[in-house]
Amino acid sequence: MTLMKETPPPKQTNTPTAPHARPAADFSDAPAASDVVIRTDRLTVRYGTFEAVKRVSMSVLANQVTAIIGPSGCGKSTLLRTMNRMNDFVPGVSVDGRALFHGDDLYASGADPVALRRRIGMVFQKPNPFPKSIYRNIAWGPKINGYRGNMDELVEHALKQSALWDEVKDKLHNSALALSGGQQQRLCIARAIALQPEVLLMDEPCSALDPIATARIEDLIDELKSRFTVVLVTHNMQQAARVSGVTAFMYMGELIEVGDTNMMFTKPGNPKTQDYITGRFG
Amino acid sequence: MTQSANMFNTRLPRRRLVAGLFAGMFLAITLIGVAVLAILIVSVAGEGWSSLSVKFLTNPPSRLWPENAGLNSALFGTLWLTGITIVVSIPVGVGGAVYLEEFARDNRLTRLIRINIANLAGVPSVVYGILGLAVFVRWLNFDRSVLSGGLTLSLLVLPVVIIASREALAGVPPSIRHAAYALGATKWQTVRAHVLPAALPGIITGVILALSRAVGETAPLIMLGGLTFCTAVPDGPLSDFTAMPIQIYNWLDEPQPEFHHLAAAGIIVMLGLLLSMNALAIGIRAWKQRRRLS
Amino acid sequence: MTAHFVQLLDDLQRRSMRMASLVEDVVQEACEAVFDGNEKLARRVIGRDQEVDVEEVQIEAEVVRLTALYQPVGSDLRLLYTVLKTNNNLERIADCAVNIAERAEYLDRLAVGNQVNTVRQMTGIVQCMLRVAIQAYGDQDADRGYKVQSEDDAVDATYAQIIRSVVVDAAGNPDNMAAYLDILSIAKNLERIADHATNIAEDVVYLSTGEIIRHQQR
Repeated sequence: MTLMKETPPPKQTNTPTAPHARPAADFSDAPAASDVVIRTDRLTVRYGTFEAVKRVSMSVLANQVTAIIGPSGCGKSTLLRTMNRMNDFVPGVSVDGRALFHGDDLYASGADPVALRRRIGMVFQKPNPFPKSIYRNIAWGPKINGYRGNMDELVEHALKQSALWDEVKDKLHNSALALSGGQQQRLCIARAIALQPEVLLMDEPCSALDPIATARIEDLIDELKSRFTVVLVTHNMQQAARVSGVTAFMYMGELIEVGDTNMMFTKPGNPKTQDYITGRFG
Repeated sequence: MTQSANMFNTRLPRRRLVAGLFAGMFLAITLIGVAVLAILIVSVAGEGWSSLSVKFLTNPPSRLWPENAGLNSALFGTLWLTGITIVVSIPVGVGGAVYLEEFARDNRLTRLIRINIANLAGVPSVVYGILGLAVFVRWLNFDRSVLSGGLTLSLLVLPVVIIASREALAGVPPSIRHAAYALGATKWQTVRAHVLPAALPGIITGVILALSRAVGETAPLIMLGGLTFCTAVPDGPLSDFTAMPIQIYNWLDEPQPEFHHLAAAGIIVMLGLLLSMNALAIGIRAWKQRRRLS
Repeated sequence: MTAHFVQLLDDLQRRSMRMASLVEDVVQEACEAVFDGNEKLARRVIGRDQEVDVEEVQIEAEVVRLTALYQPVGSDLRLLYTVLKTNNNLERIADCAVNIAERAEYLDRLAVGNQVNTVRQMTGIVQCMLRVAIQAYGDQDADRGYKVQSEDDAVDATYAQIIRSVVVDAAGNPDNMAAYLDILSIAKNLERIADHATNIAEDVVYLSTGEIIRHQQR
């Protein structure tokens, strides 16, 4: 990974130089351990012989929206799915390196993916509500995970948190498939957060939606970050710029650069990042 | 604009003519098929209609008095056979399909099993009759009972049920499964709550079509020795039996034309039964669809 | 779409450089006019300033348009931002040049003999600063940017020195007050031009490195 060409510092400044987005694999100023929720350490994911993710090391911080951007096929969705072990369902997949959730290795031999997935939830690219009522869509996850509280309250709370309550409160027992695309996606978000996960993984959640529905979900993501940690994969750079606090840029399976979103979009350190965000290559 | 239009020789009139000719040809072929079917039904109905009565359904068959002969034992025999087939083939068939489609790993063994099931679906029903004779009648000593008949028919329709169920399960979009897994569900929880219910219309249709086939099978039952003349309604799984196709065949074998009318009437009853079963299948599908979309 | 945007950015940069050239000429002519007492040249300066004003408005409109339509990020964003600010600084420089040129008609050079040479030297330094700042802008050269920034203190010191000199002389020769005021005005405007040139240089450093070095101790 090339660093930007160093310029001579001005004489005798007493304000510190403004920080650049730091190149990947730089642990010299790693954030405080209590802030890191998920950390990958030279994570490599292969489909058969094809390396989709190559030695990626990055940290996801608590109560932040971390966006992962990059051109199609760069491995960002694969990286995301590694975090809740949804890659397990792809035949021929193999994982090297480590993915740590609060310090515990997700791929250790004793680790239970089913238990993991309650704590790390996921929202998919195309809304996929169950062909059941709105109520049962949200109540099913908690039910199978042994929820002991008041289910009606839980459903209402989840729908309020995803800004869908007002639109559906009178028709909770109607089929979820009768909702519009944007509403269905908010329902899927409500379904995921009803389990009170710590982390919410979102795989291009707005790519199947119109601009108005997209805007509402972006507002929602902004609100959610106070209660959850969000990792967002998106091919829409402007969305990453609007919504996230930390942005990671991936290209051809490698993590090129990761840093504060503001820095990444005003003065990225790596020329590849610069070329990508200015649209100089796909 | 005119420049590009001149590059094409569209020959539209000729193309329309050809399209019309093919459409007409396909229509004619279809009509021939429908016409043949209509002729068959009309001729059977014409011949058997007069023999239909409540008495026909409640009387046992008789060799001597065609005017008193009825379908009683055969009808109940068929119903018993169908019942046993349902009880055996649905759990085994649907369960097998669930295992093969959801739980089995994709290795050589499962692929082998899948191929063999497809082959078994094409085996002539007589072979199943021979199998049933050897295993159920002789080896397990069930003798020539309705249980042997039912089990043999179950084996016959099992591949069809498995294949239809597997198709229905495979038709459930993977996104539903992923959604369930992402909520921290085990494979069985996912299958039970989401995959099976979604596949149910397809499974039910497949089961009913398989049963329809079972109702009409004659050859395996004859191999088993389902008594060709039996007046008794089965009173238990181990009793002797006869079935509608066998009874109809019997009547056709008699020289008197009155028995042929009875056979025609029997065919009408059997057709009625099959049509009802198919209507039930369609009805269940439609009900499930409506429930899903409400 | 991007190729088109890149072309538009290039066109904008060239246009901004042409304006910078124009402003350089204007400053040079203003200095000449005031020290030679050339009223014709002074009027030309004032005429060309109007050209500068029109161009400033058009360049600004183009920057706003490109920002709205193309949502630039990274170095493209810094470029547009720098073009906008430089545009503004150049227009102010031209205004200062006009102020200087306007003194051409009135300045009594003999009366302010003590200060004239110093001010002449000052014009040389300030024009040099402006030239280097514009070169840095054209090449996006941060090194030259830093150099210009470092010259500004000397200019301020020279200006302070001229004020002191005038104060002393004016106390002794109050009849020449008009001339003293004129020379002070010229020096003031030169000092302002130096400040604006420094602003341009600092913005060039931002464009090139992404660091904001304004208002720092040097």
